Amino acid sequence: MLRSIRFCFSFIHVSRRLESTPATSSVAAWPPIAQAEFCVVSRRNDSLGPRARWTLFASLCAVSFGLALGFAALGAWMVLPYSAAGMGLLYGAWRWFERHTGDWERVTVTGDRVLVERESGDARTRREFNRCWTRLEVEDGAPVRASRLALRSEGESIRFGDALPVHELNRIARELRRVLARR
Amino acid sequence: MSSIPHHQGPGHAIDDAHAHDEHAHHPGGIMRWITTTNHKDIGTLYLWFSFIMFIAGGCLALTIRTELFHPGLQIVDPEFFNSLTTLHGLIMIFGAIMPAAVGFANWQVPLMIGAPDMAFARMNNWSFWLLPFAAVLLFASFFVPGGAAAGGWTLYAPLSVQAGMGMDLTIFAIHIMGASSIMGSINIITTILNLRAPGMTMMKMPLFVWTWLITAYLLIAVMPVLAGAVTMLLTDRHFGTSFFNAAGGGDPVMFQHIFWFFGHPEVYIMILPSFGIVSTILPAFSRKPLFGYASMVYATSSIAILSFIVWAHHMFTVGMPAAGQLFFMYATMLIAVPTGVKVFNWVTTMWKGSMTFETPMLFAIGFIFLFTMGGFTGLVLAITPVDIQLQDTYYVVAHFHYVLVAGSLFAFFGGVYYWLPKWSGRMYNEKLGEWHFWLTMIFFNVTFFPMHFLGLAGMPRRVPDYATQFTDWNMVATIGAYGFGLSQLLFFYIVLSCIRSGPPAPAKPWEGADTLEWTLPSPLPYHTFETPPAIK
Ligand SMILES: [Cu+2]
Repeated sequence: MLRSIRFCFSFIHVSRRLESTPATSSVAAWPPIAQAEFCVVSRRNDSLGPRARWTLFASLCAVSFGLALGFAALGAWMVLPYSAAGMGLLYGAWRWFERHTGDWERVTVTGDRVLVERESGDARTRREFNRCWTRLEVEDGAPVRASRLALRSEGESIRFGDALPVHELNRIARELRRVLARR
Repeated sequence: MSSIPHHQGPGHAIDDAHAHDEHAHHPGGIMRWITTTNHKDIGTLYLWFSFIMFIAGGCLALTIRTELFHPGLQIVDPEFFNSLTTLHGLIMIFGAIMPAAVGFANWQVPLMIGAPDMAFARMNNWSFWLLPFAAVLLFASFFVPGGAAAGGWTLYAPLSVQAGMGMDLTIFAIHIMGASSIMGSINIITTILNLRAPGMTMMKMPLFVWTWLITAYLLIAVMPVLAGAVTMLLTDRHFGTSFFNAAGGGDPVMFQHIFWFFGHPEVYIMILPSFGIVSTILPAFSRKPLFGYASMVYATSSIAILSFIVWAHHMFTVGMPAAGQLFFMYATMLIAVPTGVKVFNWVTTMWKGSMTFETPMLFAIGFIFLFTMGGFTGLVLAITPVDIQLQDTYYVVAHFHYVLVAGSLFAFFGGVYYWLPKWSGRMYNEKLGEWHFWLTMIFFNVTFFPMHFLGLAGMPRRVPDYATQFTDWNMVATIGAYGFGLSQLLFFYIVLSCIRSGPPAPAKPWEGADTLEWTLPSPLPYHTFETPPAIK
């Protein structure tokens, strides 16, 4: 059991190391679960990170509005509304994107329960299965695409782990299958 | 299970109820193409659209060349001739080259960085479907009273302020295409920056991705300038403003400054993605990594930065202080330095490589050869006193066709041959591909090389008639143009027969190819990299 908990943290560790910028507040976003036998958290990779994203946005604003203001000073002010529209669209797009960079997904096995939690945008969902009736399905996609993991219980199936790196998938699947079989 | 909503991660939908068969039911037929948000479908749409525009713009060009076969006025009247040159330019630039580059980005950027799709899949669909409307407006302008815009693709005031209704349609078309470009580039820049697979650091990105990142940055920066310029034309025409109208105290030269402030970066917007394609093809067929990867990235960035300070080299004859002439002359010559770095790196990539010469490689080498000539005539034109002689002659026409046809277009042909086996899962006919290359290469030079002579001898551009001493080379150019145009039908045939009945392509038909897309099977499955790949 201790080993599994360690596994949980080690994976978070792995997923943090893979990000190009250190995750700061986002790691605290998922509530801790005590006494978990198995726990895996997956997040999509945000390869830029908020700081670089908004620095780049500022640089684009500086160039775009700099040009527009320069032309406005010469009397051709009609570039300005288009700069504003372009930057507004970019801002909206990146805000929308950012709403989902904090999305995460967690599968926890603790006691007789299997928990699947997800946060997408502002919506958080949580699904609980009976551990004894739950099994792991690995849909083998090779060679067309990477394998997919799903938990099946009482005729329902939830896919998870799409944001996990391919080379981690098999390891996680093995571990989870062993934990589920332990009872 | 209904309590769990769609996980709307970018380009990435998990629908639990359909976890296992979501790929089975996307709409078929025409609705598939209208509603698609798949980057591969949209890339295909962009490429076909640009091919149709290429053929349409080519027909306009052939009409121009037919008129110019002989001196005198034979088949079109002068006003319509001016519309032909104007629309040929607008259609080729905004309808053929730019959408083709976006098509390549749609197909290749997500594959090369290990992303499942573009960042904003729905916006991707919109940015494509705006384009056909713009094309319809442009073609419709031929049929309105007064005919299509006839002041050249640069739409210089005051001519464009006085022109008929066709100009309004052109302005709307430019607005629509501009909106499409802005949305497309926001999509591409976000995809490249934010959706890279873990481990795909910036300096591991294939050079095609780098060149598109810089192109998208340029597009976002300068598209508002074009939109503003044509809007001011519109208000001058209809709403009583006098931005460019000298009668009301406006300044027509101001239009030229604003237009070329957009126009010169636009030149790099059209050529940088091609640099990226060539930088991908050359290492694959030289079986060597690209020489000087980092210097390529820096050279591309320098070209982009310099593109903002050279615009007035298009305006030497308008009149400017000597200091201004010197500044723009030297700034323009400076661009030869990063461009030279690139050409050096390409040649050095091939140096001592074990090269083979399949069609993509032929087009890439043809690109280097001809683009270098176009770059060199650009250097000639940068010299102010020379430019004052050559301004608005066929020398300029020769120069920018060497850059844009032998540059952008050759790279796109190379890119299509290179990736078609991956995209379609079938091989094209190599023999015919090589025929296409050689016919294109020879006829291109037959068409455009004599234009250098014509320009040096003083033949002005955008005229339907000319003095008789120019006849011989004009006849040669026209014959070349027909050969060039017909050769493209061979390209169409090669692509169609490849898609329909080519032999199955292996996952990696090119031995030296090493970017991520070659780790996937051919043809590519509809969805790729839904889980991030491992990056070495
Ligand atoms: Cu220029």
